[in-house]
Amino acid sequence: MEEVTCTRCHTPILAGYYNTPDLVPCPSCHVPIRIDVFPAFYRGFQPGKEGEALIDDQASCFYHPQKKAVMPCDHCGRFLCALCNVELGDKHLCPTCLEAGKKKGKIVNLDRHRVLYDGTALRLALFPIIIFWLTIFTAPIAIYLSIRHWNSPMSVIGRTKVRFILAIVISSFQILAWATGIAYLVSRQ
Amino acid sequence: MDDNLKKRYKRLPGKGPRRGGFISVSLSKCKLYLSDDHILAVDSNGFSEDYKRFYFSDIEGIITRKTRRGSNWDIALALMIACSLLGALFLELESFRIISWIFSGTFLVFLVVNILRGPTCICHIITAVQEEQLPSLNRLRVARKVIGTLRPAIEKVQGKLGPEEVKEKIIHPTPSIQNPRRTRGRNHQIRHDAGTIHMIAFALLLIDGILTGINLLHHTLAIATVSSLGTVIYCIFIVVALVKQYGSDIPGTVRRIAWASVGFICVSYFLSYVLWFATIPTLMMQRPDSMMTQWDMYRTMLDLSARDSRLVMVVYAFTATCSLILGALGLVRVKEHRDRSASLSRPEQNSRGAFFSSLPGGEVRG
Repeated sequence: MEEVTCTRCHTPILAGYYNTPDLVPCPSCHVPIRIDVFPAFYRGFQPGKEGEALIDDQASCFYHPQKKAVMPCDHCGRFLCALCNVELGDKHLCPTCLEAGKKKGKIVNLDRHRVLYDGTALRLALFPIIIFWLTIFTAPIAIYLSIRHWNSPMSVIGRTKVRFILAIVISSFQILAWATGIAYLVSRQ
Repeated sequence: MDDNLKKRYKRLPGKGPRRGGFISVSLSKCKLYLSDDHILAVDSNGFSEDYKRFYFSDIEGIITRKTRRGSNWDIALALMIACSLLGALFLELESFRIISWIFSGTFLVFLVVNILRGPTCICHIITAVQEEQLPSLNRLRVARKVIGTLRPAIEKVQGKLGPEEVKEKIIHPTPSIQNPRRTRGRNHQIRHDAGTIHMIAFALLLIDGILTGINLLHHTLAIATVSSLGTVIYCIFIVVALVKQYGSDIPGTVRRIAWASVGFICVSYFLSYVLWFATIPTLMMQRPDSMMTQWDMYRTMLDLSARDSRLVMVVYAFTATCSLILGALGLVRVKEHRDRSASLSRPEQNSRGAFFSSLPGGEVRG
């Protein structure tokens, strides 16, 4: 069975210290520590499955014609052996669909990074107010970002468009203020 | 679609920056979200987000380790309040006194909030291939709550092991291939450090304490100048000592004294500002011709004697006392560590007890 190490002194900690209700001192460095362990811990690290060899006229894997198919791809329908079957949540995908889904951003669960255009637009509208003369440049950029990326994928956890709306409104007021100021200066001359 | 995404993820309590090392300023905040089959860790800096998913079927455990960060902040904030109160009570200008009271009140609010939030901790989530920190679980109360929420969700997917089954698994473990995560933990090496830099730093601190004490009783410009230079040098040595003690076998008490010295340096720096604002504006009004340049002001600061004002006496006494205590304590502890290391390196004197006490974890570390 594998063992857990203290995250401070990296000394292995025995099973008697697992799943205690309160913090217990590490037997080595005595720092209060609590280790919550789940059943997967006791199962160990299992090797990946290999495809079974094809027998008689069974269906074969699309990518490995010598191996028996066990599952169709939920996206493209191709037959997959145990090796090619990639489980993602409750879906079964082939490596090609997985790669394509990742590249095109269609599989949300594979997204590891997203740009927050709404947050960027709002910050562009708000922060330069401190140095007001910058807003003559940043206000149009904030409006452009808001319109251009209105339908772009946003945060995976879900967000409303309120930041885009606020960015457009604040930037519009800034542009209006600049237009008024410039018109006033020109009319004075 | 946003409604579906919102329903899919439920926000878990806790929020915190990802800390990257000895001194790190991270602008990204980390939060945890619970989904049907996984936990989503989101690092957001306002402009972009990074995601890490931990599926319930893969989570092997969560380690929660209590840290001293909360209590260190309590000490630091208490010292800041004390220093602000010093300024509020002893500064001569009304406006500076008001500012000092405002600072005191602000630090007091921070201190109360820090105490109410409870002790701090670091949480790590373990899977078969990684040990990942969860920065959002940085308070014990929050960590307990989140683990209480996660456990039923994880056990729903993985099932539950009763005590008898756990015993059976320990006696007859399931055969598995070597776990890649485990080897990383065991590769961590603790290197030996003789503590030479620490010794020099604490010796300089002790000398500075003696000089400040002499300055308190009998002020001369020469002593004040030497003391100032000594302060700069021991600051450098203390910072180098802090870097060197990371990942070394320097004892916990020596580490704590080094950190206390850093705290003392910060407090001294703050007190020097209090002194500056307490004396320079008044002197500038009294002798405008003699305070033309920065060098004139610095000379005037060096010329300050304990007899000149109560505030100066209090600051000198505080600085001398702390320097002497920290320097002496640090030197004694470092000497003990060096003597112990020297005795272990002599083979004919190396007993079985000494061998086991030299292993990592054989001694409390701060």
